[in-house]
Amino acid sequence: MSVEKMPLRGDMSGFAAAWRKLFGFGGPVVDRIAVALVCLLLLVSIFGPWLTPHDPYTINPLAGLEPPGAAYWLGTDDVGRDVFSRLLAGAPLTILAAASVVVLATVIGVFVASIAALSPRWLDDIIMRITEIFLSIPSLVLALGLTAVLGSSLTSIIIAMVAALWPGTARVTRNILRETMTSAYVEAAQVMGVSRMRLMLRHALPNSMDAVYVLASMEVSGCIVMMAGLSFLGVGAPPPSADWGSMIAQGQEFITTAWWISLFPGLAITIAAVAFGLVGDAIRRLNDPTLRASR
Amino acid sequence: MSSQLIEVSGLTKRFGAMLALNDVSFELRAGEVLGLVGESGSGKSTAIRCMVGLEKPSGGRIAYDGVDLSAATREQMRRYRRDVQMIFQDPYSSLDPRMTVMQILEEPMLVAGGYTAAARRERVLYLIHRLGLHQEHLSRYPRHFSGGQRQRIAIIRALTVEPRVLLCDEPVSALDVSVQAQVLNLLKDMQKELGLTILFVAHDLAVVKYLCTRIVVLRRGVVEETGDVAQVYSAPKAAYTRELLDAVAVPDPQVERERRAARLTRLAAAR
Repeated sequence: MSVEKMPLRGDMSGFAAAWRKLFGFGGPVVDRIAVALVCLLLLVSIFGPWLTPHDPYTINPLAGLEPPGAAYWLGTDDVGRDVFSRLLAGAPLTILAAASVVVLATVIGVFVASIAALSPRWLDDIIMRITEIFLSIPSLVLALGLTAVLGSSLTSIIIAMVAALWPGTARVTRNILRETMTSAYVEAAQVMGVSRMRLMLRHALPNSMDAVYVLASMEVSGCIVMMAGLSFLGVGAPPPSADWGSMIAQGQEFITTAWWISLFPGLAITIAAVAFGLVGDAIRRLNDPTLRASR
Repeated sequence: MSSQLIEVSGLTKRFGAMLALNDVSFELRAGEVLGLVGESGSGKSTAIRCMVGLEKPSGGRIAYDGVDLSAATREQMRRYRRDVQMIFQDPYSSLDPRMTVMQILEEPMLVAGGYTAAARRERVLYLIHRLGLHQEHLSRYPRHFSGGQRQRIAIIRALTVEPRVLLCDEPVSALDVSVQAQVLNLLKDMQKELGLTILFVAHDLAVVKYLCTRIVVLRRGVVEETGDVAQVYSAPKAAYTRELLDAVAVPDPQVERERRAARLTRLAAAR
């Protein structure tokens, strides 16, 4: 048979193929920039706190409201703290927190979705109606309410965000799983007598995860914005912590005279949100069957 | 051993108001190749899907070796799942795209249990060589194969656990005409070599004539005719069977033209 000589291009695991498509010759420039930005943001949020040129928390009234310059690259706030240092110190509070929220929400969402997809119709209906009740509460209100109950801290904001996000993931994943389970290879496995557990873990989930990854990376950007919103409203990590949302809030009263205090954290939030959104979009395009020729 | 392996009696299936199968009865005898034919929508796929448990019958019973499946014990059901394997119509969707060929071929044995890793490998290697694939194909994914090769992989998968019965749901209709014959010959060879019993669902009567010993003709969920292939083809009892037979093209333009003319006159007379 001629198959023996068949070229094995594109015969790589998902990650390697994705990497090659993004950084290899074919990938659009925007995707490559977005991936580079996301990598940079993740590095910054891991190592940022050790790279600060000034101490992000020391108050120095003599250097208050300095404009961006050689000493303070992005200026200082009203009590003389370096904005650039605070951005670095605040990166994990924003990006790592958002990423862990999405990871947790995805794990919970996929777990609930798997149970619903394996259940008989009536139980599936009950699970999904409960999920929809959660979904119908506006997420910002739910998060505000929960942080009010749990007290204002990073942990409670993460719990609140996870509570707000998992129902969406559960609903989308459950629908994808249900659809995957009607495909002929899942039916073939059923006919063989494959157990429901194996059916889910070996066939339905692996073939549904592409869409879940896309959803998750898009959710990260929504989550970054929402967490910034929450800490802007004052329910985030308590002061003096330097998460980007509360930095904007702090600079609010000086916006006409010292625009840099609010502008740079705002830009950082925007760049982070757009970068994660673009990466999500890039993953979606990689997995789009109509665009996927060699896979 | 009773010659009657699977008995379908009074099988009925409703989808909402639609009656897909209405009191369908037929039997599958040990060692035979039974053709289940009918146009699309006649219920032939539904019948096969009821037989493997992908659809729940609304009425009637399906018995394997004298055991009613709806009353079967766990152990009897396990045996049925192992003895009766199915081959799907579309080999492009019936193989899990994320599994290697080896993983795909091993799965029925893993599910059936009782095979060591070495035994599984030996069985897979024996079958792939017997059915014209190579060892290096085992680490590839279904997307690397043509339709005919994929259907061969599906057939190997079905044969790994040494089944007695193969239920084939139009196994060649999604394939290129040039490879249909290959796959059919393969099924025929395997049937003879392993003494398989085959239920072959098809809408192409030429294929059925080539492969089957008996046929059941379904129309709108009702059995129109049952009989030996030779007898049904030479002297169809039901008008519907005659229509189906007339629809088969004859590879001789002269004959085909005459047949077409005769068909038109007959239709005009009927009107």
